[in-house]
Amino acid sequence: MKNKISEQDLLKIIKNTLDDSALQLEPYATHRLQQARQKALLPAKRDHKIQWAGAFAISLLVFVLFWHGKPEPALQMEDLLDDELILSDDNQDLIMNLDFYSWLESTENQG
Amino acid sequence: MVKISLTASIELGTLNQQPSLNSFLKSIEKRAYKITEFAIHDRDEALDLVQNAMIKLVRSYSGHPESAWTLLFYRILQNEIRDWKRKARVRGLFTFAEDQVDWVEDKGLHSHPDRIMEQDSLNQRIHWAIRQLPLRQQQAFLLRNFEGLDVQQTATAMSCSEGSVKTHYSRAVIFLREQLAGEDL
Repeated sequence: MKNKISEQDLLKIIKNTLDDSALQLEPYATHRLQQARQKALLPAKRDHKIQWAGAFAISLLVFVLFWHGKPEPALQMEDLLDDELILSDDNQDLIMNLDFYSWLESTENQG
Repeated sequence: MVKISLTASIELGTLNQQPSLNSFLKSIEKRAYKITEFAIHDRDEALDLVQNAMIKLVRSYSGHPESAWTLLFYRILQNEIRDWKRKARVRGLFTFAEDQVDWVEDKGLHSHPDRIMEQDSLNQRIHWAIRQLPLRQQQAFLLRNFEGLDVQQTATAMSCSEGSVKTHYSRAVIFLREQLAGEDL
């Protein structure tokens, strides 16, 4: 083959073969991919644990405010919202992928 | 409250983007699956990883411009593959005996092309050759040749330098040339 075919032709043949195999995926894989897509496009559901933690925190706050009789709802509610935002999936993702985000920022700046 | 409204508007944006996200995922899913399956040699696990990447893209980056989705998707998918490989390696330490059997069977399938020569097609030979590539060479080759990313895009998706991509790619091409030498192309 070395003498028969150029590198460019070889790459073209490989590409065509791979393209064909992707188009002729077995029905099982095609079906699973379709399901995966549908699942990904469903509106994101919040983590139940975080919801319960939030509900517990709000109950605790209401209890403490009621007990002390000095409610400062605006400030404390804002703190609570901040905590909730920190606990959200997106922000955990942010913390865990800081380098990825800095890459994103740099590409956005270039664009 | 402003933050809450912002979150709501992002979610609304995601909903508005759904038709184009659906088209995007549909256009990329089969190649993404093939690329993943080449890397981990497991159909169901590959399908799971592609699904994870889809979910992460939609939840975290659907607000980004459509032009960025391909790179973001493959960046996520490459991370998924890397994590899966790491976990598989750790699992291998504890389930050695079980894996050894799989490994022997795997070697039997992938290391002796002559065994499948009789019923072999060019398709199978090419698939076999690509499976033999080291992971980084394989992924660089597939992202460049199959997905059609350029060097810079591949480097971004693989979190490495452009120089590394060029090296991986050229080594992969040399290897494939050698492996497919003698084939009636």
